[in-house]
Amino acid sequence: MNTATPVVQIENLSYSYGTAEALDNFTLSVPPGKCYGLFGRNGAGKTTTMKCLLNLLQPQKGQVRVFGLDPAKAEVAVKRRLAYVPDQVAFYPWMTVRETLDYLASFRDQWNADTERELLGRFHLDVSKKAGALSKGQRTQLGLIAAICPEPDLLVLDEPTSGLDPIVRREFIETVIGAYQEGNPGRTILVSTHLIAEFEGLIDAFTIVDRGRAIVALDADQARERYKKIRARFAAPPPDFDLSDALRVRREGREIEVVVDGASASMMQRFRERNPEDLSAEALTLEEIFVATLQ
Amino acid sequence: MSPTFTRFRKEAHHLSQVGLMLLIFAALPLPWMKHPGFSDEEWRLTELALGKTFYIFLALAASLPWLLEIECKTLPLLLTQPLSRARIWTEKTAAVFALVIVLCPIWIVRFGLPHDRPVPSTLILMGVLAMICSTAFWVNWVGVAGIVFNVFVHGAGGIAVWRFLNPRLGAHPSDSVVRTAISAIVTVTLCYSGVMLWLGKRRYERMQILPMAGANTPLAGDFWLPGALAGALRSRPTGALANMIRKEIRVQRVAWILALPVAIGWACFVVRSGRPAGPGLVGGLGILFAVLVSSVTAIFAGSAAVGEEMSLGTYTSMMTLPVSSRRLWSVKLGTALFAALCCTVLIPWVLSATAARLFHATFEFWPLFGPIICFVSVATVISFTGSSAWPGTPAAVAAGFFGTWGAAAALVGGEKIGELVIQRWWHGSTTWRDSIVARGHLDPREPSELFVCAVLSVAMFMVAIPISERLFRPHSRQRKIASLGVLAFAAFAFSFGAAVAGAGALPAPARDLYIAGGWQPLEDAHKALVKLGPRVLAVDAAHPLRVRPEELPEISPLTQQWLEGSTISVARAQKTHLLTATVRLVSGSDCFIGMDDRGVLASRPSCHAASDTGGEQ
Repeated sequence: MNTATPVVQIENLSYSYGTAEALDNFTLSVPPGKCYGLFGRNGAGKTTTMKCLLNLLQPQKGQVRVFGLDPAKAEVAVKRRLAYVPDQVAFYPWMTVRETLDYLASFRDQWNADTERELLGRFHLDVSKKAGALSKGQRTQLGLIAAICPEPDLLVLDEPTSGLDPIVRREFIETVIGAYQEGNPGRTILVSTHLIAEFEGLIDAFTIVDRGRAIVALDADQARERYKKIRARFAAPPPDFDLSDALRVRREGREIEVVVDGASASMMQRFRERNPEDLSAEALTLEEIFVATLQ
Repeated sequence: MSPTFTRFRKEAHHLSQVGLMLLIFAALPLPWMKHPGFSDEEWRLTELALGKTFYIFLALAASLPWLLEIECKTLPLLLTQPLSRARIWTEKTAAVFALVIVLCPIWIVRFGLPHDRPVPSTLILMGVLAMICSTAFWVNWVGVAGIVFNVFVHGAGGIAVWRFLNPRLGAHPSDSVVRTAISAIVTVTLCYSGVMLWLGKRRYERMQILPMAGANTPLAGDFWLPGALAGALRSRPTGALANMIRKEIRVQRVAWILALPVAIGWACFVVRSGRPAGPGLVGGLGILFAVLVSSVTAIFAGSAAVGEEMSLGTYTSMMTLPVSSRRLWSVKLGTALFAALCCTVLIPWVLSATAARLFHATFEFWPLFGPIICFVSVATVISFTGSSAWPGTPAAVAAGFFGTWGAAAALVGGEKIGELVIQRWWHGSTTWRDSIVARGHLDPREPSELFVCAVLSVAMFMVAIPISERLFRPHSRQRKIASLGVLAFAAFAFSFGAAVAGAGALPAPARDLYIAGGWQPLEDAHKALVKLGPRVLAVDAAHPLRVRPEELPEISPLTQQWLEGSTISVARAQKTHLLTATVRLVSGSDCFIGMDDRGVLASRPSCHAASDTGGEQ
């Protein structure tokens, strides 16, 4: 893979369901070897974006490239290198877990049987059980196994942890996703979620989507550097001063808490000038950045 | 095992089940089931109807590889696998053709083609080919309704082509004309099938996975609804019950669309029946068509009520609404029955009446609406119950098809068993229905159509409705096999009861003819009149003969009971050798026996109720 080429490149993508606009000039670039987060509220356009790059929806405007290829034209070449786990994982109810995996393996050039065995054991999935009898969480687990075993270059996950219990969720994020990328550092994950806290340590870069538009696109470290929460406690009720450049301001008694985007040094200086008893600055978590941005 | 074979095996899974059902259907011992009262022509109609059923099953089977992906919500999973859509389409189409290649010869051998008439034979085979090739296009466009469109378009197209060709071919076309016609049909169909295959492939390649999986169809929106109607059916902030009904009416969209072919079918045959040639074979086929489409409509109406909720994934949220499950069930079943009856009776009735007025035609099929109401109601309830047991519309429709047509097949089998019971324990003397007709001195058609059907339908409802209500509740669904077993038994009891009661087998027109022709006391009276010899057979045109029932020799007790108090007059038509014996029953109904002066029946004995104002003489 050419490392200079983004794995996913979306430019000015627009898509509407009838009169309801799902994506409006949306732009995204996912570099290779990263775990990339697509964050947004419900109905923000995350799933539509994923469906467009998987050729499940045809873009009405704009351009989509996966591995530098048009997924509509180089359909098989693109799909051969990716695997997708939808938010509502569904299988043929009459097939057993074993049959389902065999069936899905039949589409692939390679299938890691060791990984399959290991993951089946880790998730305690009974291979003789019918897919129709699996719980929602078990279906998601089966979907993940089916997505990871072919060892694709790109793993597309749409709300992957919904329906999983906390133990399996942690196992999934820390072990499965981690192991997937550790096997080959060039592998890329594109994950759409609003359970951002769970992916905190895993996300390398992200885009926040709102009403079909990309609001913020940053590296996670860069974001943590840029978004700061400054807390100041004063001896007396805090004086009024200009905080209009803060993203969020919270006053409580003698305390002021502000969230800033980028200008943390000047904001700190302004607080210092007013002699606070205590002044601290800390990086925001990705979830806090998400909330602050959308509020 | 090769990957292609693994995928093919998956496609074959459901196809093989449907194929097996079709084989069982084809293996039914139909000649054994032929009632002696059926003439060869009537039996040919019945077999033709069964052949058409096979055609519908074939359409259903061909649509399964496409529909099940939508139904199981596995389409995104399948389409994101590293295989081109074109290849997926090819593999699925190959599986369908494999099924057709296996089943079609069996169908041809079993139900036969008019071998002596190569043009219609070719037309039927080409119709099947065209239908199979069009399945992907229709089903991937409009979902379940695509099956109906597919069957309707090709069925109507085939009839239209035949109507065009038949007069041009003449009664005895030369070999060269036949060869030309066949070549034209084959060429046009192959071109058409090729185009439809290409369109189906193109549609599959371009298909988008919209948020409403399973409702990925223009039918789900307001596309087919006039603005005013769409507004009337829109939910309001208040009035939960009215909103539920409005929503259910929208859920029944397939049934509403089916009302159109049913109504057009009836209207065409009303117009046809107004011609001098009368309804004849075409009229009979028309009735069969209308009955078949009516049953399909009933099955869709019953299946969609719950099946659509499950397909759309709205079932769980519906069941958590603050409304009792019994109320939800009653609204759903009530609306399904309303939609089914509107689509199969009310709308066709209005359109037929309008057509009759416009074309100055007489509509001779009114009596059929009674049995159709009963049949449609029973089929709707069976399908509704099936849809409560099996999730999703296609599964429910399949359950409805097999349930309803299984019941219809049981009707024919039940009739035979009923006959055996009558002969063994009732000494072949009479049936329940015969007894009612004889004691009431009734027109033999009356109780079969109005009384027997209604009584047996009510009996069927009494069993089916509580089962349906129980299966509707999710926690009762584990016992579906036991519940449906009871329902199956009730269906058989319905069939058996119908047989013992003498209502006869489907189709309704054949039953009507059977009752009129096979009514034993009427035959008995005819034989007795012939035995009176020249006194009857040589009656003078100017001097009609009056005969008292007591004068008739060697008539059965049943005939004596039926004719008690009646008057029989025999008259000769002016300057002909034809005689008509008119039996005026105590109830006021008249029955007619037409014969020549040797006593041979000139026409089928028939009856008229006292209230009838016109009709056959």
